[in-house]
Amino acid sequence: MITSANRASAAFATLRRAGLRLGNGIYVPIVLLIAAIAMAIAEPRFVSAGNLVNMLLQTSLLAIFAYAQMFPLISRGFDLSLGATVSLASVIAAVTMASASSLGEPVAVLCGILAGVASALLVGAVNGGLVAGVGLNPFIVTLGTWNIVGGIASSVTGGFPVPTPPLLNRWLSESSFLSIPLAVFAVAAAVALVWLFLDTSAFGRRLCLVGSNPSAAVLGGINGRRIIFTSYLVCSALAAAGAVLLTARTGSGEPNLGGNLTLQSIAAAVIGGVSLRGGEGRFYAPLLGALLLTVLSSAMNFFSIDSYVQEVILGTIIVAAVCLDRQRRA
Amino acid sequence: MITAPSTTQPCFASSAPAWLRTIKLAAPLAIAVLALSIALYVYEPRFLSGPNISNLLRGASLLAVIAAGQMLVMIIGGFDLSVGGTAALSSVTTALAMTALEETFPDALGLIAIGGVAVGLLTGLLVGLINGGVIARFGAPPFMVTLGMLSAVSGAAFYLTSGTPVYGLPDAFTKTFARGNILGISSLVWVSLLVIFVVWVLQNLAGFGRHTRALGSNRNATRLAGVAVNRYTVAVYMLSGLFASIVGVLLTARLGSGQSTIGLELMLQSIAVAVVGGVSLRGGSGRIGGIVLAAMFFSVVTNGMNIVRIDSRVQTIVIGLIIIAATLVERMTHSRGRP
Repeated sequence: MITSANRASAAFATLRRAGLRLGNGIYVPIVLLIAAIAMAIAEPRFVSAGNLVNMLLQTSLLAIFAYAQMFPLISRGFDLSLGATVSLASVIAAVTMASASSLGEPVAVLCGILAGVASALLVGAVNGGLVAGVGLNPFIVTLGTWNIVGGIASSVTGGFPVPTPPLLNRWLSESSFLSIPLAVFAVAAAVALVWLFLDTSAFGRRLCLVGSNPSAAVLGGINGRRIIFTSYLVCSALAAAGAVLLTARTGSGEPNLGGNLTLQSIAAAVIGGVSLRGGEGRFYAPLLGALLLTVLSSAMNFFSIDSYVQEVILGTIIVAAVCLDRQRRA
Repeated sequence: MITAPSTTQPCFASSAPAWLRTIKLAAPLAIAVLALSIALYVYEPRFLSGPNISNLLRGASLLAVIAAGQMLVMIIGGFDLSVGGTAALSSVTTALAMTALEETFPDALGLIAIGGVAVGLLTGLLVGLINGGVIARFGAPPFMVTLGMLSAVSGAAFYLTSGTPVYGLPDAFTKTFARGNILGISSLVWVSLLVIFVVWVLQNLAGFGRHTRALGSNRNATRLAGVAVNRYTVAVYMLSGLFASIVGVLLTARLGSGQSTIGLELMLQSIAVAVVGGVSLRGGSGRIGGIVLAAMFFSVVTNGMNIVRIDSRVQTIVIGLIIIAATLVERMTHSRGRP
C-alpha cells in the first residue's frame, strides 16, 4: 500500500520534472490522451478517419491564430485586434478579387490574397508602432484598433459578405494530399517556420529576453522596440494567412469572420502554456492548446451537448487550466 | 498610490492640494463634454430637449455604474472581462425568477418584484465571488479567469433562455419603476447615482479606498503591511459583479424583458470609459469622478453621432480612435510630469 503510494508520488514527481523540463504544458498532453482514449472507447466513430481529418483541420485553423497571438504574448503584449484583422483581411481580399476579376481568375485570386495580407500587415504596423514606438499599453492600443479595424471591415462592404471566385475555394479548401486538406499542410509549414524563428534564430532568443526582462534586454544592447514591433507584424501576417484559409472555406469575404477568434486564440495559446506575463512560449504550445480545445469540442458534439452548455464547459476549462498552471509554478 | 507626506516624496505628489490636482485631471474631459454639447446644440437645438437630455443621462448613468465596477477591479491591478456576460445573466435570472414567482404567488406583486431583483443581484455577487475567489486563491491571471467566466456566464444566459427574450414581467417593475420619475429624473438615474455615491464613500471615507489603491500599487508590500489582500480582492470582484448585475436588472426593467444579448458591448465600453476616465492600467489609481465624466463624454459622443446620423459602423471606428487618443494624451501628460 505504502510502496504503491510512494511509487505513485515518485512517478508524479518524475512527471513534474519532465513538465518543468519541457517548460510548459505537461497537463495538456495528459488531459488530451485521457480525453482521446475515453472518447475512442465511448464512441468508436470519434476515431473514424473522417472525424480525425476533420479535427486535424479544425485544429489547424485554430492553431494558426494561436500562433499569431503567441508572438505579442511573448513580448509581454496582446493583440485584441486579431479577430478584426482577420475580418478585414477576408473582406479586403474578397473585394480585391471581385474588382480584379477582369484580369482572369488566377491573377485576381493572387491580387486578392496579397491585398488581404497587406491590409493585415498595415494593422500590425499600427499596433506595433503605437506599442513599441510610442510606448502605449498594448491592451488599450489593440482594444482601440479592434474597434477601428472592425468598423472598417464592416463599412467596406456595408456589412454584407462578398463572394470569392471558386478558384480560391478549389486551391485552398478543396484540394488535398493523401486525403488531408491543404490547409493542414499550410499550417504545418507555418509551425515549422515559427519553430525556426523562435528556437534557432537570434530573433527568437531576443524576443524571449525582451518579454521576460525588458531592462536586461536593454542592458544587453538589444533594440527591444524593433523586436516588439516585429512581433506585432508577425502576428498580423499569420492572422492574414489564417484569414485567407478561412475565406477559402466559407467561399466569401465575411465582415464577421473574426468574431470570437481573438479570445479563442488567447485561450488556445495560454492553455498550451504561453505565459501571459511574457517571455515564455514554446513553439508547440499553441498547437497543443488548439488540439485540446478542438478535441474537447468535437467530443462534446458527439455527445450532442447543447452549444451554449459547451461554452460554459469551455469557460470552466480555461479557468481550471490557468489555475493548474499557477499551482504548478508555485 | 499611497505615499508618505508629499514633502518627502517629491516625485510622486506635487505640492498642489488634492482638489486642485483632481480638477487638473478632470478639466480636459469636462471641457470636451461642454464643447461637444454646445456644438451639438448649435447644429441641432433638439439636442438639449427634455427627452434627449433624459436619454443622455440614462445612458451615461448605466455606463458609469458598470465602469465603476471595472474601475475598482482595475485599481487593484485586475480586469473584469465578464461584466457584460454577468449583466446578461442577471437580466435572464431576474426575468426567470419573476415569471416563476408570478406563477406560484400571482397576487404578491411586491414579492415578485423584490424576489426577482434579489435573484438578479445575487447572480452578480456569485459571479464576482467565483472570479475573486479563484484569482485570490490561485493567483491566476485575472484576464484569463474573467475571460473563462465571460464564456461560462454568457453561455449560461443563452442556455437558460435559448436566446429568446423572457417576457411577462410585472408592471410594477417594467412600468411603475422603470418609467417612473422623481423630480423629473428617471428612477434608473437615481439608482445609478446611489451606486456612484456608495463608490465615492468607499473611495474617500473608508480604509477601502486607501487599501485597494495600495494593493494595486504593490501587492506584497500591502500584504506585509497587514492588509487582508485576499479579502479585498474577493470583495472588489464581488462589487464589480454586483454593479454589472445592477445594470442588468435596470436594463431588464427598461426593456421590459430578460435578454441574454444585452451585455455584448458592455465589457468593451466599461474598459473604454475607465481608461478615458483616468484609471491606470497598471493599477493603483482611479477616481469615481473621472468615471462619471468619461461616461457623460461617451454618452454625448454616441448621442451626437446619432444626431449627426453617422453610420453605426463608423461609430465604432470613432470610439476606437477616442480610446487610442485618450491613452496618447495620458502618456504625454505623464511623461511631461517626470523629471
